[in-house]
Parts: sequence; C-alpha cells; structure tokens
Amino acid sequence: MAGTPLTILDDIGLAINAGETVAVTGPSGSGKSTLLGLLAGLDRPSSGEVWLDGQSLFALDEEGRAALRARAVGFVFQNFQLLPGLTALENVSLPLELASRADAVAEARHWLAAVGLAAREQHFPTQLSGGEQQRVALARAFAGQPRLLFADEPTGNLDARTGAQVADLLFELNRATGTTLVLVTHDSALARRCDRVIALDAGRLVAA
Amino acid sequence: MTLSEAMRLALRGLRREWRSGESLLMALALTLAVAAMTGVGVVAQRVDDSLQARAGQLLGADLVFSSERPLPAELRAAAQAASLATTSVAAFPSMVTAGTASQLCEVRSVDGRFPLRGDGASGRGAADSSAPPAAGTVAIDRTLAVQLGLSSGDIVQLGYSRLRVGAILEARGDAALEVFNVAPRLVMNQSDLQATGLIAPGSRVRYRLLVAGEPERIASYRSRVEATLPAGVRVQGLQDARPEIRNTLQRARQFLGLAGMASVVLAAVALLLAVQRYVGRRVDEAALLRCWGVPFRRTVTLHLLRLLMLGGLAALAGVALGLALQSLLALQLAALVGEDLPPLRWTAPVLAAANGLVVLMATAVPPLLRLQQVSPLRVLRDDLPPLRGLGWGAAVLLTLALAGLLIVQAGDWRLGLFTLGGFAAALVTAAVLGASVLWGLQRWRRSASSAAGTGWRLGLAAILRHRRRSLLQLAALAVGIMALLLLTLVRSDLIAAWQASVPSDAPNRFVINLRPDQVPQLPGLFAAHRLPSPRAYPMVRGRLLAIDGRSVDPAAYADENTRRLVEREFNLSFESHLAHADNRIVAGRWWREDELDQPLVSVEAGVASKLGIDVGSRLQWALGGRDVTVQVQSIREVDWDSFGVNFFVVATPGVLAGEPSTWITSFHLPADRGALERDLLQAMPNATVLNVGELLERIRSLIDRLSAAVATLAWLTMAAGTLVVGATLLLSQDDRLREAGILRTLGASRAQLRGALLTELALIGGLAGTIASACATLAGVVLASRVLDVPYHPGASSVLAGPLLGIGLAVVSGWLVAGRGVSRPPLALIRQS
Repeated sequence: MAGTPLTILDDIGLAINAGETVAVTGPSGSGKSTLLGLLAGLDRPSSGEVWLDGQSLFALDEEGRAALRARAVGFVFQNFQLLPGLTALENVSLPLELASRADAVAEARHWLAAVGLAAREQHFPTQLSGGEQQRVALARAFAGQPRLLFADEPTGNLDARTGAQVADLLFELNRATGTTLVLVTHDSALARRCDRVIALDAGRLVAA
Repeated sequence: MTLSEAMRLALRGLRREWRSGESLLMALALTLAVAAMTGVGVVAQRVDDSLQARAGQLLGADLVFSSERPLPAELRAAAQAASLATTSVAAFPSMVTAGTASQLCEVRSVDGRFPLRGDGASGRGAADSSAPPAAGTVAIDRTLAVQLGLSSGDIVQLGYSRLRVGAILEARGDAALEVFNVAPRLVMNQSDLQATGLIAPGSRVRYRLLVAGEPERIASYRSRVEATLPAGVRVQGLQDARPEIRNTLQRARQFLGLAGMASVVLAAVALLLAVQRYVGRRVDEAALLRCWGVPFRRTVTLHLLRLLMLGGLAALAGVALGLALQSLLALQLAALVGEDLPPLRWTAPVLAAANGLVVLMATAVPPLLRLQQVSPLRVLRDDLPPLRGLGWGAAVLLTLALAGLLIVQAGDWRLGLFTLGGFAAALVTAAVLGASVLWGLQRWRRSASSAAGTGWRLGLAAILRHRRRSLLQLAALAVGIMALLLLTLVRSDLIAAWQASVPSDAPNRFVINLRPDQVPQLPGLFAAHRLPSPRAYPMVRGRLLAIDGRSVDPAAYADENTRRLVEREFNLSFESHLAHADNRIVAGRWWREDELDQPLVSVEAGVASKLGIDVGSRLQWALGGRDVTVQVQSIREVDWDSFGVNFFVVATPGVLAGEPSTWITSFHLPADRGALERDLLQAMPNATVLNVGELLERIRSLIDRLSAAVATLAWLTMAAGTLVVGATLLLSQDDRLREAGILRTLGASRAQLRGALLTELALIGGLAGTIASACATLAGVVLASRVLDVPYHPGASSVLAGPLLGIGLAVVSGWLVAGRGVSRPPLALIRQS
C-alpha cells in the first residue's frame, strides 16, 4: 500500500574491480534487477551511495548520470530493448551518436561485423530472430567501448542453444575488450563462467 | 447488481479514469463535437424561425403578382369579387433630391393600403399604419430621412415633382432583408406618378398586385387565376416568398451545417482513437475479471455507464460552449437578416447532446465488445498477442452514424453523402500526399542518415515506424488547417485579386433612364467639369418569344438563373459599329454598312450557350407593340469585369431604332468631382445614378460576414484536427515512454530526447501544414482561373501560415501529451511500459 515503505535492498556493500566479471544471482524478487538499476544509476536509492569510475553516482543529477552512462557504461537487457524504428546499424550507432562520436557509423559497422551480422545491418528489429536481436544489443553495448557492462538476464528470453551462443559471444567480446562485466542471471552455469558470484536473498547479500 | 450500485462503481471508476489522458481526450473530443452541433443547430433553427415568422412580412401580402408590363385588370377584378383586399403597386428605382443632396431609392407608387401584411408604416403623421400616403405626400424609410437630413413636412424632388414628406417608415414592410435591398424605400400615391415624368416607355418598372385575405379564399382565387396568367407574370405566395432570400439563407444555413460537421467528423476520429486506447488498457483487467468469473455483461455495463457519465459531462460542456458559439454566429448572421434572430429553442442543444452520445456509443461499443474475446490465460502469460483490429468495427459503425448525422444536417441525403465523400477525399488526398513524402523521407534517410543529427534521426524514425498513425495525424491536421486557410487567407487573397483586376479608372457610376433628347446634353455637362464625355447607349426592352421557331418556356430550363433570364425582359441595344473595346467576336462576324437595315443581332457568348443559340439561329422578340424575328449574325465574348455598359443582345439600327428607348451610360467619377452628379440630376431629374462602387462594397461586406461565420467553424475544425494529433500520440504513449527509457539508459541527455520529440512533432505539423497550404492554394488557383477569372498570386502569408500553424499546433498538443517522457528516471520509464 502507498505510504508503507518497502525495503527491496538492505545493507549491501560490495566493490567490483576493473576488468572483473561478476554474476549477481538469487531467486525472483530478491532484488537483483533493482541492484543492477542502482549500480548503473538508472534509479535512486532511498539511502546509500554508489561510486562508479571514481565518481559518486548520486552526487550527480539525472543529466550527469546520463552523461556518465554515455561515456563509460554499456547495457544488455533480457528483452533486448532495441528501438523498433531504427535499423540494426542505427541501433548500434545510436549510443555513439548520443556521445557525439564522429565515426559512429563506421564503428557500428565494425561491431555488427564482430557479432556476425554484417549482412543484416539494414534490417529492423522485427525482421530479426531473438538471437540476432540480442547480438545486435551486444554490438550496441560494446560499440561504445564501455569500461563497465551491465547485462540483465541476457539469455533469459532465448532458447538453450541460442542462449549458449549469445553467452559465448558475450564472454568472448568481454575478454577481447577487457571490460568489467556485471551479469544478473538465474542460470548457475552462466554465473559460474564469471570470476565472482554474488548471491542475493530477500534484498540481502548472502554470498560474495 | 442494482443500478445504483453500478452507478456508484462506475462513478468511482470515472474519478480514477480522469487522471489518464484518454478520458480527458475523449471528453474534449465530445465537447467539441457537441459544441459544433449545438452552435450550428441553434443558428439553423433561429434562421428557420425567422423565415417562417416573416414570410408574410417579406411579401407584404398573402399573394403577389408581378410583371414588367401592367397587369391585366381582370386579375384585380376577380380578387375584389372574391372579397379579397388588393393594392396595385408600381416599383422602380429613382433618384430623390433634397436641396443639393440626392440619393437613389426604391419608389413604390401605391393606390391602396401598403403593405397589406406585416407592420409596414408606423411613423409619425400616419393615421392608419398602412394607409397609402395622401396625394402630394410621400412616406420614406428612416435611412433615407437620415441620408438626406429630412424630417416630416420637408419637401423632396422626385423626377419633375415636388412632394412633401408625410411619414417616416420605421420597419421595412415588404422589403425586410437589408442587404438585398440596395436602396431605401419611398412610398408615394399613384395619383402623383404621372406628373413625376419617371415612367416612360422602356423604363425599368415592375408592376405588382398585392392580394390579402382568408387563406381558403386566397387558395381558391390563386388556383382559379393561375392558369390564365399571361406570359411574364410571376406569382408568389407565402410558401415561395422572396425565393432569392430564402435560397440564400437556406444555403448559408446548409453551408454552416456542413462546415460544422467537418469538426464533428474530426472530433469523432479523435474519439475513436482515444476509445481504442481506453479499451486497449482494459485488456489485462478484463482477463483478470474473467479469471475471477465476473460475467462479461457486468464488465461491459460498468464500462458503458462510465463512458456515458463521462459523455454526459462532456455533452453539457459542449452545449455551454455551443451556446456561446451560436451567439457569435447569430451576431454575424443577424447582419444578413437585417435584424436580430428569433430566440433559441432548446430542441437543438438537446438534439446535439443526444447526437454526441450516439457518436460516443458508436465508437465505444464495438471495441468494448471485443473485450469478450480476451483470454483469461492472459493473467498467466504476458506474451499473448494484443487484441488486433479493435478499430474496424468501430470505424464502420462510426461512418454509418456520421453519414446519418450528415444527411440530417444537410437535409438531403445526396448532399450529405457527397459531403461525407468530400471529407473522405480530403483526408485520403492528404494521406496520399503524406505517404509519398514519408516514402521520400525513408529513402533519403537510408542514403543520408550519417549526415543527420541524432534528434532528427530519432524523430524521423518515430514517424516512419508508426506510419499509419503518422498518416492519420498528417491527414487530420491537414484537413483542419486547410479548412481554416481556405476560409480566411485564401479567401482574402482572392477578393484582393478580384479587386485588383478592376482597373482604377473603371466606371463607378451608371446613369439609366436618360431620354433620347437628353443624350446630346451630356458632352457639355461633362466638359464643364473637365471630364471626357462617356458614350451613351440606347436600350429597348423586349421579351424573347422563340428560338428557331420553338417557343421559349422558362419551365424547360433546369438552371434557375437561365429560367429567370427568359422570364424577364431583355435590355436590347442597337449599334452600327462594334464600339465596345471589351467585346470580342468569337463566332460569325459584325454587320457591314450595307446590312444596317437587316434584321440581324449579335448575342453574348454566355447567354448563347445557356439558351442554345448559335450563329444563324432565328430569334423571335416581342417589342412594345410588335413581334420581330431576327437572325444571329455573331457571338460575342464580353469582359464583364471592365464594368463598362454591355448588352446580352445587340441589334442593327434597322431592327430597333424606331422603338421607344431609354439611354444608359457609365463613367468614372473621381472622388473630387461629386458636383457633376448633382448638376447631372438637376439638368435631368428623371435620370437615375447607380453608385456601383457602393454596391460592390455591400456585396463584399456580405461575403465577408458569411465567410466570417463559416471561418468561426473552421477554427473548431482545426481544434478537432489537433485533438486527433493528441489522440494518436496518446495511442503510442506506452511505446514512447519505453523508448525514452532505453535512450536515457544509453546515456541520451534530456536535450537529445527533447530534440527527437520536437523533430517528430515539427515534421508532422510542418508536413500537414504544407499539404494544407498547397491544397488551399491550389483550390484558390482553380477558383481564380475557372470561376472568378482573375490572375491569382497567393500571398506569402497564405503559403507560410499553413506550415507555421501546423508546426505550432502539433508541437504544443504533442508536448502536452508526450512531453513528460523526457524528464522521468529511465528505469521508471522502462518498467511503466
């Protein structure tokens, strides 16, 4: 009910080092996605702090956090979150353009080729399969060469085989670029591929 | 569930609903539609009442016979035998002079009570309100008294007579509709007519016999005499009194009604879109209720009650707005009718509100019924496809409801369907133009995307993705703006073009009723005022009896103007040489010197084509006391815009020179030579000077008033078009919020999001406005070249106003609906959707 505050996350303290790959696991409602949203500065906590890249996130206003995300952070979502009105190429070049990169299109082409979709660059999201859409999302995430990549159940909407292919691609690109990866997942096999696993239960850290 | 329970539940739901955009939008659309229908409906009722109430007053009698020749005496004798009251009237225009001032007036020379019906003369000095003026006196309209500074007892000069003002008339009697009467009225006793010298063979006199009495006697008298009337006698009863006024007002009323329907149609489209969103958002709720086993009938009843309450409130607001609108329209139309309109009756607002609710139900019921198909499985699985095709059933039902409304409004099913077709055609034209522009943009986007900015790219992408919605926005907004542009800017451009096409030295005075012996005096008179003497032309009156041996029957012509043309007498002229610079022979040839005594004529091209006359046709005319048959030797085109004296039919001197004639001339009177007019009238008291400039000014102001009334409705149409833009944006609101969330997550700044939304809105608005401008300008060009025959250069304001207006409307309405997506935290935006 409105008026009764609900505690989603409580007493969470953790540090993630540059270049590390971390999996966040836990049952539904344990607060995984909320933690991810806070780490990425997509939402504000009622209390507490997040430092990212030497900067206290919530000392910045919404505009400042957006600018920081544009500079240093990439995302991969469970339901891909591609813009349906843009082609694959445009979806990939979008964050580069938002960051005013002059070579946005050339860079986007390079990353589409890197995920094996060079031939599909003029296709719209609805013309692509789920696996292909997630590969476009991966290209979009890595194209900005972010220091930090957040992935929220990146294989959750895919069948096992396609999911495995996308996961392979994710870790391969991660290794090649040396990006810090924070991965939220139910899938214990996927979590085990990370350097460290953080488990959440009822909003509290149970293993780190 | 009892009704009161249901009402309570529905009311609670309504309060909750109010916060969501679609309820507000539905309410606004319905308010607008009801306001348009109320405004137009009430005005129509008041105009109808006014016509009904004043039929007798317009006619001045129960029955009127009129002709250009004196009426047969038996007509009056028969009326008197049937115990009916009669008055004989001779009506003609003439100048009346008081001191140095003179004024054109409509003279009514009467021999009995005048008028027989209506509150005619109620002025000072008149014992019986409609008794004829005593011999040696006249009764004049209040306007004439003011114009000439006259009061009761003053002397006026009429032709060669000096008469005393006996009474001043307050009401207009037989001539109520101000704008249709160029001149004020002067009523005189018939016994004074001869002495004025104003009636000569060939003068423009109309003879009337007014008859009044009990309705049954009038009816039997009319049926008895109607069959025996000679050619050229017109008869008018209360039902067909003053057809020109009746037709004009009814046309104005019809035009207003249809213009009002334009806003109703667009508002209905907005309503349809808003209802779709309303139902779309109820799908999950419906699944849940089905899961719980709530009967579908109860769910639908609740929704319908909720919508009816919302509709009721909106209809009330619409009636209030409509009443304000109608008083504005009535004010604009009162100038047409010459006095205040009768009071309003409540049938029209009630009908408008009821019609509004019909439109609401027509849009809401089919999509609501679709909720029955919602699977309860939806509560378990959120990946079920959304309900498709919500709009089709509603669109069909809505079209039927609108067609019904239009037919009722137009009072004619053909006109109603034609109008609906017209709207559809305008919408489709705008949509097709819009679609081709979007297609071009899509191609351009592929080739030039890297050069364009992010905001531009995103805005364009949004338009192209929701192509159908974008086209709907484009078309609705374009139609609204087009209506407004046509009725305001293009109209004034056209009037300006028409005025500019009249040369500055074009004749602004016509002098009629000159006697042949007065014509030689003209050069001296003009020379005294250092003005070139104008050419005068003889005028002989004649009735067209037969073309190529077939007698002319007015009833055989479908076109009303043609019928009237042959009913009346023609003004014929005769000339040796074609002296008119504004005439051009298009068929046949002018007569040679040796043919001047041959029975030949030249006919104006327009009349020739209306009557089916060609070179070689043989025309039989009744002139004064004899009939002549002449052959058409040539067809002439006449440039009427020159304002020179021109004739439909010109004959050789041999045909007409012997007939009694009056002469006519026209000239340009510079503003500082007014003294010429006075001197001319002093030298030739029988002459009548018509001020054409003044007449044109009156016509212009009439057109202005009518179109101002229609333009008022065009603003409503544009508002309705803007609502459609708002409604389509609302329909895509969820997608928009989600996209805004993604963009924010990817690091887009507020400025970038704002840029994208503004680009999208400005593109839609600019395109719609450009299409509207183009179509309105094209319509202006067609009107100018086909109808008005003037060179037309659209003003910069007409061309620019469309796009600017479109951008302004789309940006403002769009920002109100979709602007909030710009400033919310990204996660909230993604989750909300």
